[in-house]
Amino acid sequence: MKILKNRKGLDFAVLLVLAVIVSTLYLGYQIVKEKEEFQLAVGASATGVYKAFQEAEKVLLFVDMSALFSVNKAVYKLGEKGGFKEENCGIYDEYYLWNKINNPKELCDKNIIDGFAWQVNKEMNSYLKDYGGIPQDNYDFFISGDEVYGFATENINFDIWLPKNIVKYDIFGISIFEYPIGSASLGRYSAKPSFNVKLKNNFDEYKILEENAEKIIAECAYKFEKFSEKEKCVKENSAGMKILSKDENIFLFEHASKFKSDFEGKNAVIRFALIIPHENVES
Amino acid sequence: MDRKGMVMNGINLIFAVITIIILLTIAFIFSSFYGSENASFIYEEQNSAKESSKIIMLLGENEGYFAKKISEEDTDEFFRKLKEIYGEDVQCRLKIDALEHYIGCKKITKVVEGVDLIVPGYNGNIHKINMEVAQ
Repeated sequence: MKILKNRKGLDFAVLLVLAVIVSTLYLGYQIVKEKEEFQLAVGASATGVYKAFQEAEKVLLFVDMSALFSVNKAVYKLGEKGGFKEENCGIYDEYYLWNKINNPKELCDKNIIDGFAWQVNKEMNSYLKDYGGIPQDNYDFFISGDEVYGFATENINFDIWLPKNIVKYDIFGISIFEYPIGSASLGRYSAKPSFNVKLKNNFDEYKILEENAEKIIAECAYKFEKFSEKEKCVKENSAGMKILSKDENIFLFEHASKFKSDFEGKNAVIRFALIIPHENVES
Repeated sequence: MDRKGMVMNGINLIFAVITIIILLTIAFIFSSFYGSENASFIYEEQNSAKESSKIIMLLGENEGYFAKKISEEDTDEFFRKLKEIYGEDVQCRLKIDALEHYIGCKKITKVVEGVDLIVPGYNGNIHKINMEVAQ
């Protein structure tokens, strides 16, 4: 009580109390300010990048599996269309004609690799449309030996999001509220969805079949008056192909390919039709 | 100022200094806690993401095989490869379109890593794959 009676001592005590209050407030302000400057926890950005990478890997896995299926399916589909991507010379009973209607001695032009790439792209689109966000018709194809490469022309971008609600706004350890920072994007992660598939089929069978077709036309077209004689000639020159005679002038062929996909229980079949006219047709 | 006043001022000053030191210490201790909770969360997030990526990479490396086995619902070999990575005691569960497989694995008790995937089926179906690994 003696202190209180000492006016000068009292003044000094009040000053000290004020100084302590001011210092404490300043300290609190500095701590809060420091927290505001560091809104993200250490590693939050890295986690965001890692998650974007992970999302990309998921998409790339989907693309790779789609490519694997598409390449295998394309071999079967291409066989069903006789190697054509679209009907060049016409279709007879779902069999693509290999020689020209107006000039049966001449085979129609076709590019097997081009047809195959077109078919792979078509199959890829049918798979990719189900995922969403993966561009379609996005590939340049390159086929070398038993390898099929699909080079993506357009990349897929993934936003790098920060992990949600990781920053709590607190003072001295007491949580006041949380920053809703989940919507902030740090940037974009870009991935090229190219693929490479090994294929146990090199399309040489088509060349052999074309040679056979030319031989059949050369040996059997315009040479026989009777259908039975012509049919016999075709059989003799068909090199083991299955023959379905549908019309007097059109023969349907089916060749069991060596190619057998892991996902199909049967070998691929290459089928086509040839116009083989009678002797009197040419004149 | 008399002698008593000077002594009392000195005592006041000492108390004030001690008070400030105590306040600063408390503030420092509290502020040091800041972020530790987040750091733990981030560590778990990163670890989980990293392990999930391991599974995705494993699937990616064996995509042809994986695709075939998924279509056949035969996952023995796949789980064998998983064990190569995580060790023999790994617990794992593979869910394909909500059907659970524990082939070659013990039943999951506590999930520590997981990954959700969408993969195509050969015939155009879409399969939802959920893979969980516990150690």
